[in-house]
Formats: sequence, C-alpha cells, structure tokens
Amino acid sequence: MISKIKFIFVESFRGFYYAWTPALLSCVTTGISLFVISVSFYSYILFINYSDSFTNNYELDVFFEDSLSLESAREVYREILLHSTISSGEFVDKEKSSEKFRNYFNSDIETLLGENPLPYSAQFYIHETNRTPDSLLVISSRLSNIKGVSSIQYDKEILIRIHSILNKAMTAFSIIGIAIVAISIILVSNTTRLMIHSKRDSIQIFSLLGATNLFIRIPFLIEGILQGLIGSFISIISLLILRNTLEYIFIPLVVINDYNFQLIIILNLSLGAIFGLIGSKRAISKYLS
Amino acid sequence: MNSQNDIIVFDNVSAVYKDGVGIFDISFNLKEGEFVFLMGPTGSGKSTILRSVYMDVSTNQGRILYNGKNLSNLKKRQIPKLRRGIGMIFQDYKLLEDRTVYDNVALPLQISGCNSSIIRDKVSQMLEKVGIDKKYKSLPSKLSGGERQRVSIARALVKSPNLILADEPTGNLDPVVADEIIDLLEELSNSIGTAILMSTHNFPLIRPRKKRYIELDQGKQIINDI
Repeated sequence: MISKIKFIFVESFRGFYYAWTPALLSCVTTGISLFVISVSFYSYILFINYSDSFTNNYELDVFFEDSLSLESAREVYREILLHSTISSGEFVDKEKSSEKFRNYFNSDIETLLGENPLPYSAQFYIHETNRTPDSLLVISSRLSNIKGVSSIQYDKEILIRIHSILNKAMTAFSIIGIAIVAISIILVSNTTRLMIHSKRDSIQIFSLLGATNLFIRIPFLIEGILQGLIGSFISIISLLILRNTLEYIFIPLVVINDYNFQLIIILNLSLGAIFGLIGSKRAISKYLS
Repeated sequence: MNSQNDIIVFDNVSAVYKDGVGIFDISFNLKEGEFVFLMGPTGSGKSTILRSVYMDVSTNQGRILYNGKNLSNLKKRQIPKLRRGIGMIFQDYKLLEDRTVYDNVALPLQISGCNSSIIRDKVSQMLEKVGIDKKYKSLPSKLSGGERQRVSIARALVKSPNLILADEPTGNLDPVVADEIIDLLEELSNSIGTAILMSTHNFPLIRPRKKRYIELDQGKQIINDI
C-alpha cells in the first residue's frame, strides 16, 4: 500500500519533469486567468468601498417648527433617533445653524438681519439597510408626520442618480465577474485537456496493465492541483509587482491594504487548486470509461 | 469441452462490432502451459479474440471461461484485476516512451502494489531472462524493434501470469528477429509454464514449430488443429 501511494505521488510529479512544456503552459494559463480574476475582484472591492463612502453620507435634514422651544425640539430629535431606520444623528441648535451659515456664506446672519431666524434642526444618518432612494422617501414621509417637524430635506435627485449608477455598475461587475470565471475555467480546462491528450497512450497502457480508474486518475488530479497552485503563485507574484507599481505611482490615490491583499492571496490559492482539479477531472474523464 | 486444466475456454463466442465485422461462433480451449497460434489475414478477428479475453471488447453470444470463471459475469470494476493476472504483448509494443526499460518492466508490479525490493529482484531477473539487462537504463526510443519487443515480453512475464496474450508480436520485426522472439516466448513458456495465445498472419513463421493453431477467416474459425 505504501509503495502504491509513493508510486502515485511520484507519478503526479512526473509530468513536470517529462512533459514540462504542456505543464508550464497549463501553469501560465492558470496564472493569467487568476491574475485577471484577482484584478477584477480587487476592482470590485475598491468599487464597493467607494460606493459605501457615497451611501454612508446619505442623510436627512429635519427642520423643527419655529414655535418649538429648545427643550421640545430636543425631545422630538430624541424621538426620531429611536426609529429603527435611523443610525445616528446630530442636533443643530441656533448657534450651530448660525455658525454653518457663516461657513457657507462668509457673513454673520445676526449682523445682517439683527436676529437669528434659523430654526432648530437635526441631521440624521440612515441605517445601512435603508440607504436607497425608495427607503429615504418612505422614511422622510414618516418623519414629516411627527408633531413638531416642519420640513425634511435631502438630495433626492442626486441620490437617485448615484444609486442608479451604482446599480448598473454592480450588474456590470457581476456579469463580467461570472464571465471571467467561466472563461478561466474553460481555458484552464482545455489547456489541461491538451496536456492529458498527450498522455492518452500512457493512460491506455496503464489501463491494459490492470490499473484501476482511480489509480490512473489520482496522479492526474494531484498534478492538476499542483499546476493550479503554481499558477496561483505566478498570479500572486504578478499582483505583488502590480501593487507595488501602482502604490509607487498613484499613492495616496491607490492604497491596497494588507487585509485585502491577504484575501486576494487566499482567493488565488483556492481558485488555483479548484481550477486545476476541475480541469484535470474534466480532461481525464474523456479517456477513462 | 471444459476440463480442469483449461486456462481459457471459448464456447460459441460471437463479438460483433457496429459495422458488422467481428468474430462468429468461435470455440476452442487453451490448456495450462500450452502455446497456441491464432492464424489468419488482417481483419480475420485474431485481435478481437484476444481483446475479448481481457474484456476490451464485449461479446454478444456464447461464453468465455478464464480459469473456470465465466467472463460475462464479471463486473466492470473487476476488469482491472482480471488484466493484472494476464500478460499482454502488442505489435506496437505499447511501452511508455518517457520511462526507462527498467521502469516499463516494473510498471505492472507497481500497479499491483509490490514493494520496491521485490520489484527490484523480479525486474532484474526478468530483464536477464529476455537478454536486455544491460540496457535497463535506456529509453525505448533508443532500442531496436527486437529489443523493444523483449522489453514488452519482460513486462508481460514479470508478474508471473498463467496466460500471455500476444497480439502480432512479430508484426513489426524482420524475419530473423521475429524468429528469435518466438523462440524466446517458447522458451519462457516451457520454463515458466505460462500458456500463450499468440496471433499472427505469418504462416511460414509458425509452420515449422509444430504447434497447435486456430485459423480464422472473416471472423470465422476454419481450422483448430496441429
């Protein structure tokens, strides 16, 4: 049994030595596919981060009725904060409003008008799950029914436009991602098939000499996984070079953090092994009845 | 027809391919240690008979007994075990070109899971017996046709089978070397006691040997005699 296992492992590495050209081709193909997938995946992560930075700023400006005292306005503010759709908020009293006015218009409202007519107001940030234009519409309509609330404002048109762009981009990313993975599997699988095709005589001889299908199959599967892993190393090295180049040229616009890069390394190793396994399994099945 | 020392019994066996050719109503037996020729022109069904023994071809009618067991009852997963018990020699040698002579001969033992010391001993002995021991490190591409066939014979015999199926083993060889190969097979058959069923289309090659032969034509058995 031990000698059989030893033989199977030696067989798995034999292809690298005796048929190194197709083996190398298979590794490089896997490497290129994984590189393209990784770049797409990282672009996707960047896109998600950027879209989060947009949606994180979804906010509602609530203006309270002029007749409300500071205490009553704060009470209404606290009532709104209790809503499940609201993640946080900031109360804006007359002094803060005046300060904001000064910042925007570079002049003092009290000097201009002799008094501060700005109402009490509050900014509310929306919970992550409700950051869509439709939800914002529903929330604003609910909040406007609360006693003491005078009006609610938010950048409706801009939000609708941004959301539409984000949705389209996400759909495009999904389609492109699925297409890249599918093309990669087919590409790797066909390259492996070519490699195994060159060994069809060996497979036939093994079979005639009484080797079981499993005995014939296992070395090819191990070889496929090894080739996939070598391909993933090629991809990881290329990505490291790309990362350093991009960071050197574009810092601070592009910063690829270690956590994301570790994710990409894990993705590469797993996909490399899976591609190799699927490719060799598909290819060997053609020659084993 | 079926006696205790029969290695193979063909009992009215037919195996027909999709295009209608094949073998029809073949009946013969092969005893322990016996050397029998299958004789006939190309397309007469010699290879089909051999292939049906190692179950590379399925039969449509009749039964084939190997060591008393009906091969029709054999399940697909049992075919590798059957093949491990039979030695096979082919006209095109079917050697692994990326392996040395030693590795090629060792292959059946490795498939059977023998340990390396047994493999070493058996392969060395067999290479010596077939007279190719000095070229054990060579790749098949560096050998002559006769030498390649010797390697093929060593590979077939290394696992000490009780049956060897030789499909036109002299087909690619010149007459002198072909004679040597048959001499070698006869000698090994006599010394080890292995039964040999060998196909050939070369009647002049087998005529002087006074062995039993089965003559075939268009898949039908014409003669089964000495």
